[in-house]
Amino acid sequence: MTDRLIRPAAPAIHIPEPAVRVDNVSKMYRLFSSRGDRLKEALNLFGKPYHRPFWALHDITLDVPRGQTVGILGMNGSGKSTLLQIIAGVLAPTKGRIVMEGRLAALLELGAGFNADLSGRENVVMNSTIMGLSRREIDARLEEIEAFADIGDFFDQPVKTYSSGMFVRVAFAAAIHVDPEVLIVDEALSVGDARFQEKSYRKFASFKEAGRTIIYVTHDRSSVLQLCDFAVLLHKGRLVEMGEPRHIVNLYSEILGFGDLREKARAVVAAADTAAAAAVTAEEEANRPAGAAPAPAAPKGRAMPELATFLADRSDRSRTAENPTYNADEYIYGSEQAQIIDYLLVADGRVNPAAIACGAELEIYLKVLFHAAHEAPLVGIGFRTPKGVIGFSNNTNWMTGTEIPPVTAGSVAIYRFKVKMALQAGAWFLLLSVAGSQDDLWHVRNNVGLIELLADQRFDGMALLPCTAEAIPEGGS
Amino acid sequence: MLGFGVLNLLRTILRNRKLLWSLAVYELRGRYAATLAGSVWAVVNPLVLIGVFWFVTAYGLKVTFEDGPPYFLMVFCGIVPWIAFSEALSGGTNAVLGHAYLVKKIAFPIEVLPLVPIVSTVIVHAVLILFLLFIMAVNGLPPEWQFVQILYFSGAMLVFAAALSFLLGAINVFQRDTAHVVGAILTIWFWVTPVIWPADNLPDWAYSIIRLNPLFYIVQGYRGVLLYDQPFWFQWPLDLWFWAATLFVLLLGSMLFGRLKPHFADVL
Repeated sequence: MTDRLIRPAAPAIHIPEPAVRVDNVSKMYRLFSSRGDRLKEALNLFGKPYHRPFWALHDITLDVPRGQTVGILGMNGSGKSTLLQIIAGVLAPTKGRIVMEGRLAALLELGAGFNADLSGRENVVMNSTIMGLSRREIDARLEEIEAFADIGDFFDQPVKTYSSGMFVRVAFAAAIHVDPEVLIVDEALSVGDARFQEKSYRKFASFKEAGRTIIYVTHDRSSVLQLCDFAVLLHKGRLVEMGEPRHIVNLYSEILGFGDLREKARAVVAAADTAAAAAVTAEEEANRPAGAAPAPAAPKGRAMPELATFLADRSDRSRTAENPTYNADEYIYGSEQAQIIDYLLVADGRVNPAAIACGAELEIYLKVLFHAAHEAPLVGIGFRTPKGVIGFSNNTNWMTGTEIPPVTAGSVAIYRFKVKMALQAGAWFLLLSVAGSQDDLWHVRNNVGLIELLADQRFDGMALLPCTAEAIPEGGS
Repeated sequence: MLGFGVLNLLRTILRNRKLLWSLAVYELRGRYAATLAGSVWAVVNPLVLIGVFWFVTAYGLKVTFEDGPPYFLMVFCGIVPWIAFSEALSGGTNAVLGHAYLVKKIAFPIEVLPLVPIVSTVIVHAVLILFLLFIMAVNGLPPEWQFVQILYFSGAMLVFAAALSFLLGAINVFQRDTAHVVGAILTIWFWVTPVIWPADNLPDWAYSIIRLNPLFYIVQGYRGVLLYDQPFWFQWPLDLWFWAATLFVLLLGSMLFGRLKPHFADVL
């Protein structure tokens, strides 16, 4: 009754209450140099501190809207797991608070809350009881859970005999079937085979459709793009940025590539986003009906000082290692009659991006120093998976219609490849080569660079072939 | 302020009573999961202990009394509640630590944990009491309706054990020596409580001191009800002392538990 009195009148515009509100949350751990110090501090009547404070989270404020899927990205030690544990109510925040209503299921760790000695079935019952389900509700769902986990007779074996895959199957099945308002998932889906992942993604989707909220922490950037409505980037315990998944994933990739969030990298990303938005606007303008105001010219040469410097520098100094995408574990062979001394990558208006969208056009600039003259040198590029499988490779000799002018001894030439990166999501190693002919290899740099492809749609296999599908109506052709 | 902590504790426990029950059952089952005889061990071990004491007192020491029930029945009536108490207390001290997998990784009503060993003890205790009644019946003391009063003493004992468990279970998370100290104290406690020796022969000054031991009240209560046909208030006003001590430990324990609870996950 009383809370009806103090509740304000419903606002004219409906603003949905956030499912989870993280309000100025900070978390400090006390680091003690010895066990004795912890005891000393506990027993000290005057509260003399013996610890060094370590702040795992600083002032995190975040509203997770109801029915949305939010991805949390960050390197190891960025505070992701601490934040999740605080949201899940496992850890108490040092400062700030969490506001949320409704049932919350959390998959924080593989088999968390499972008793190794009990069977999968018993653990599921246990877990569901902890989540507040009645015995009847549990019995009603048990069959479904068993079917979803799909681990056969192992369901009645002690959990300690499980493989990690079985573990995650049972844990995920149990968590999703308690029908929580908010589901927290910490990288659980990366375990398990493709078939189970597929099933889990489908379950995720139906969960989203039912208007439930998901908080998802992962290293897998592609799944953030595919699943999340918005994303949050944590770095060194701070919330660096939140927003559209693609933007956050790009920022995260910069951190991964450079080890830190360089102001420069941030500025570059921000500029790229503005440019992309401008390009979209330009396109919309162009599609206007006749008679409307003329479309302004799309911005041509975007400000890329690195590219200008690269093109202007014709010295013979080798700068390959300075490229942020450079992989020091490359292996090189060839007669070194010519040398690849530098390279530069451009995609989506960004120079040397750590990650690009699957299907985006990648420009590869190669700088070659020739020690001997040659009539028609041959330049090539290629991409390998971390396992060494070549996804794509080509050279100027095979690409009909491509003319490579003769070179003189001591000259430095720059070549540009443009390639549509329609390959599977994941890490791709760059291969660069220069040769006199197919049998006369001068300089082959395998795995010289590393670039990550991010897919916003799923497919299997290695290449994203242009592909459409439609239903043909009866009598059609 | 202090009472508020206790009320909060009770509310959480009441809300999660089903969870508490399944945890206790699963703990019993889990503890003996890999064994052939399973949960039977939970009853067999105390029975072996009782058997040894019966053998030693009846044949080794040849203790007999002129009047009253046989001596070994007196030992039985003391040792059955003692086993329950020591099991509950050592279990309760380790409860939070032993269930770290529930404290650290999932949102869980931690208040329930110190009670888990208490509830699983109750299950075993009930079986042992039935066994005790059987032995008594065999020795010419068939069950009477007054025996129902045993519920009061077992309840009182469990409340006392629970209060201690909240206190010690919370401390044990931070200082793991606690469990071993409790083990040592239980050994002393066993001998200062008239579990296997009769309190009646004590000199008056010793009797008035030993009475202050809350377990004295419990053990003598079991005997009074089962062997001497006494009503449960026969030790008046010792009842007041027992409940005052229990309430004190409960207030202290629930306050400490509530205060330390947010830090459990950090330390475990």
